[in-house]
Amino acid sequence: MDSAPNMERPARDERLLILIARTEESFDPLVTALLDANIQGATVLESRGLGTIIRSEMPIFAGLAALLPQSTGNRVVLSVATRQQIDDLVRFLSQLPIERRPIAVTLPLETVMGIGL
Amino acid sequence: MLSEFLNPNLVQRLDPSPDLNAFIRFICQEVSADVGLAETTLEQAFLARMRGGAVSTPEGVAFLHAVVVGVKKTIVGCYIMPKGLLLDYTNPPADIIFILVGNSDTPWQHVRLLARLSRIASNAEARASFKAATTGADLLKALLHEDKRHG
Repeated sequence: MDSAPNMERPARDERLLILIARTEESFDPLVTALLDANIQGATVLESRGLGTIIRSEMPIFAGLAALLPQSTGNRVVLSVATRQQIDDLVRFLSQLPIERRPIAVTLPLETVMGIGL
Repeated sequence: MLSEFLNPNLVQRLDPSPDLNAFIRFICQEVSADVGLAETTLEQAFLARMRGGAVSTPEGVAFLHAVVVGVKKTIVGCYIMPKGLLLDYTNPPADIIFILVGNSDTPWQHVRLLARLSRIASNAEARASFKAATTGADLLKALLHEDKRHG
């Protein structure tokens, strides 16, 4: 079946890339790694991790605050990238100290629209 | 990645440090022919960038760079100045100064090169190896080694 109007099949090796910087300090090296991997477009969302929500908005869990990570899920980066770009990015990020590495997930793409405009 | 752009003539150790304005003029003289632009055009571009915001970091690394219309060839250089060079008042004098001149038609190449230099310079061991270089040849070797390690 054809794609919907204005939708396109992604290039064969493109993936959806989801990265989560855990702290403010881990965001700068994430951005420089993205740029060095030649990933030129991305959307950055301010975010909060579950631990932060529990600590700040759910008093019933307040007693557990000291046991929870102090800062999680600072920012989320969404992008569409090629396999090569993702391989480069992962190699660059793996060179960071472990506490500065982001959470990273890639997913296959079914259809895309509006990328590269 | 850097080997394509590094100009060995712009990879040097300078001791003592020159005056900032004299250093910028010296760089402009050195790269003018290669990039195909007048020295004054380059000098204005460097100074405009410096007026636009900090070019150095708290770790003592500076990125003196300019993106200019008509640059024929992108050039990267690196200077070690053990006595430091004050480029802006928000950070201490820089003892590692990267030079980058690029064409405004290829801004992403410039951004990517800056990102690579930033990744390399954020590593304390890499900075130490640059500062330990006693000659331009040693510094060039250290730069290429770190570039390969980060590539």
